Amino acid sequence: MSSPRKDRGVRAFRFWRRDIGAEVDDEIAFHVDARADELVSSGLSRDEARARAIADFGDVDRARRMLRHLDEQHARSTARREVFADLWQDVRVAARSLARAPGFVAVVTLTLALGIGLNTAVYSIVDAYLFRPLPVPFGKELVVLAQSDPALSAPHEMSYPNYLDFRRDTAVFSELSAYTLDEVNVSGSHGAQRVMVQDVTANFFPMLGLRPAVGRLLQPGDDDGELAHPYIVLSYAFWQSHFGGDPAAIGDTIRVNNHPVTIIGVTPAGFEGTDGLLAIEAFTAINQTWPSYGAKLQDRGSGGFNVIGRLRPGLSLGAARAAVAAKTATLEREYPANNRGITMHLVPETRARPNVAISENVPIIAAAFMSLVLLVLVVASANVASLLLARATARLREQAIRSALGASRWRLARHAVIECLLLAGAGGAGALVLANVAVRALTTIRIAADVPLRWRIAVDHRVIAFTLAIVVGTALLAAIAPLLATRRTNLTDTLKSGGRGASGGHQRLRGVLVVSQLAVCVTIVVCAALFARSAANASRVDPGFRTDHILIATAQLGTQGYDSVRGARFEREIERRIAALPGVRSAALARYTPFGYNNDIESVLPESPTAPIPENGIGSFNNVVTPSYFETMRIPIAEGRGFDERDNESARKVAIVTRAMARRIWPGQSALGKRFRITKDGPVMEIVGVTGDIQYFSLGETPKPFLFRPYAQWYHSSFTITIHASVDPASLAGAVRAAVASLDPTLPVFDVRSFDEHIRSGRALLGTRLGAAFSAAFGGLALLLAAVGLYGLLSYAVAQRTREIGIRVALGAHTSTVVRLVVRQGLTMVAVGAAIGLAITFGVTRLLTALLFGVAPRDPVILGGVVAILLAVGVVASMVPAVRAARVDPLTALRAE
Amino acid sequence: MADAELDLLQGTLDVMILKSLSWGPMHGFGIAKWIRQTTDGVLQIEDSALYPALHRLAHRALVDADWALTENNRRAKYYTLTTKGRQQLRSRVQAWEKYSAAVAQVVRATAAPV
Repeated sequence: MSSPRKDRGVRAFRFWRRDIGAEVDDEIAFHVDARADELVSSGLSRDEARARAIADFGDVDRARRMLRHLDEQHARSTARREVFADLWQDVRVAARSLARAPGFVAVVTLTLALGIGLNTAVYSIVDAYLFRPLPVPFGKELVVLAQSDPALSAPHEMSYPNYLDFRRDTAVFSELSAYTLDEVNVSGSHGAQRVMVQDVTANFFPMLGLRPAVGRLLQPGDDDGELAHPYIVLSYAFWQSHFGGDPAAIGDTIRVNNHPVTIIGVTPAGFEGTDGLLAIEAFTAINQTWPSYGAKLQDRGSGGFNVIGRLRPGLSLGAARAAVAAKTATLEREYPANNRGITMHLVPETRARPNVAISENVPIIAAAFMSLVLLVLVVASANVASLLLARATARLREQAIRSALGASRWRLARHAVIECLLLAGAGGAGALVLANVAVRALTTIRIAADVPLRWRIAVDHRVIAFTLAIVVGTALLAAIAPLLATRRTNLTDTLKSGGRGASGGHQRLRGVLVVSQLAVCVTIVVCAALFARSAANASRVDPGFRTDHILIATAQLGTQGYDSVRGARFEREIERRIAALPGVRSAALARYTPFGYNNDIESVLPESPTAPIPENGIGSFNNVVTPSYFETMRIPIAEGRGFDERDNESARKVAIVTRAMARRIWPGQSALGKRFRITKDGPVMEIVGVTGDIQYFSLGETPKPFLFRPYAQWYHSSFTITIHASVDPASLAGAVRAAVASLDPTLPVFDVRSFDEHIRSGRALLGTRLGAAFSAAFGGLALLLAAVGLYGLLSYAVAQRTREIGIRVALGAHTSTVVRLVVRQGLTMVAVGAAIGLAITFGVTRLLTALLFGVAPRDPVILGGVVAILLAVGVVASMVPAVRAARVDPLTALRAE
Repeated sequence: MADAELDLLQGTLDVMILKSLSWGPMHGFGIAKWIRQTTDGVLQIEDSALYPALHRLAHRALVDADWALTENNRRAKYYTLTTKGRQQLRSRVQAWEKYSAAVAQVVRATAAPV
């Protein structure tokens, strides 16, 4: 049996249908009757006449059906037209009434645009990194298979034999592919580059369903037999940037780690491999490039292979997990030595970003961030609601009149919602513009990392759909508050009392909301100011060495097949050639770069310390440098000497330490001539010099013990050329590359940048700079929102108190008294908000100490300045409603009685 | 010959309905009867074809439809020409006269093609 509700609906529908049907029937019946009457009067019998009349009419049933159909169609389209006409009328009315209040519209639109724009921008990041499948045909069906075991509980790579077993024995994958990531040296007629490659099994591209942009991609069979198919596939971006997008490059032979490989094709534009963070520039097949994996492909004890696959169509993740678990149990049983205690994790590719090891927490972090920005939007909406409420209160009388004239409550409500939709729509349009600007600003952030990062955010149709949803949600949210307020008011009473009616019941709640906004605002703006000061200070920090006019550039000889003898010769020669370049004052080689990503800690084990030393020695960052390093970086030798030609391979091992090291181990004595080791059975080193202190790991740190060793005694196959230039260091990049190419055209030089850039965009300052940028943006947003909130609240209060103010003015109150009345209310809230905000700030800024330079978390100038700014904003936000209050005409205000 | 007649009829049914209403409101049966008498039964219009045409005219707002009582006190649906319908009738009649004059000239022509 059908439910009563459904019944009612059907009956109503039938009623409408029967109406049309009955009319059609009546009309036909009349025609037949009239015709029969006519025939009777011409002499036929009643029955004959009726039969003739029906026959004359034609197919009665068909005519009836047709007429009904025509009439129903017409009725429907008429109804539809009426609805649209009504709606259009409402939109016009709403637009007209908004056009009369341009200031109000501007404030509301801007507030919503900022609130929604922030959400759109953050969503576009979350979408790009979490939701959007890889840009490949089978993107949605990809899964990542990773292993965890007693040695490492985070999911990670697996051994190649285990991968092969899963691929062969589980029927749940259409394809299962393994890969490793590697940086290789690529060289050819186009020059030499350091390139991030994805080394894949040959079924990788078929698994993704990818078609080549040019040439062909790797295909099954391309990984058969070591070095039998030395092919490389370029990414579209790399093909464009290094081969000028020339199709003739297909078939060229280039060198990867100095071994010949053939370019066979190019992946489609937009494809950057399957890693969550790294942008892949080229693809090779496993076992087809140098260095070879050797026995690794047969060794179940070594890991390192990432596994990604595509589920069979129609198969659920649960079923696939069960099959994988069963196979895992078998593998554990058959190879207990390597597989004891392993667990396999099968997760959708979008859930394995940026890396399957940490992806579990990523959605939580993203959700937290999204909630935070949604909260900002809720506050923005609340402020807009507050403005709408003030407007609605001022128009209560108008509404009451419209209602009295017959406008239904529904119509009034619809009008309010449409007004909000129009406002939110304008806000949404503004938001998309803002989000586009924000996203463009985000993508232009330069990150001086030593690997190519995937950094591709866009405002696309998904983001626009999200914004649209937010717009509608916001409009409804902002419309509800004023609706509720007017609903609670008896409109008849309102008419009688002269439009004063709306109750101020939740005025207190809104006061609390505004005060908390002001408080949060103080905290964020203080943070912004601290970051900005820090960034300014940091550029003036003296790390103990020169940072201006320095160029750094890195190269790696190891994979090019250099042994230590050839390598050492190469390194001596390249230093000599670069030092001789015009514009170069001095050049040196170093294994590490201060504030870089690669660092090494050695334990210093002194022979005769004069201070207590832990058993494991003094953990110390260190660097291996050529003699000219100290001059190049202007690190002063305070005692003894720097390195020189004497400190070669066959001489005794020497070292130079910083003052902090000397102080730590031999306080009160000279460190010169003191001896130490860096491993228990390693060679003994003698200290020949002591330098001034340097900051090494983070900018602004208190200098810690540090150790230098000579390059000639500690060969290393990778090095960073450090150049002191007499010209703009960035202008030397080409000459440096050319100098390296003149010695070995197959050797790429990478991470070429000035030291200033290295500090600004690298590990040292990126956090502080982004912190400054983001907190400045958020601080501005918070300030604006708080100002709008205050303005809305006061406007509402003034609208409500119009009559009271009228009486005061009538009784002789001066304009300035009225203004003071309103402004005082505003500034009281600012004062309370600022006090609470300062209290929060004291707690929060302590956490930021690590990112601050040369500025105390409670810097009085900054705190005082922010409070002053807030007061100024408070005065401005209060003045508009205050002036409106002062303009209240006592006659108008009182006549309404 | 009969087919050609029918085509003409279909194309001009709207005009005939509008014309029949030019003297005042009339129900469907009255319109059918008027057409039958006026054409001396030459044009056989099936009643079942007349009504859909009438309803379409109503939907296009060329005629108004309303229920009223006949002289015999029966309820019948009366159709009235609207202003729009009157304009439509005028322009269609003009077009029809032009057309039929042209056809008449052709069929009565005495000169052979040059």
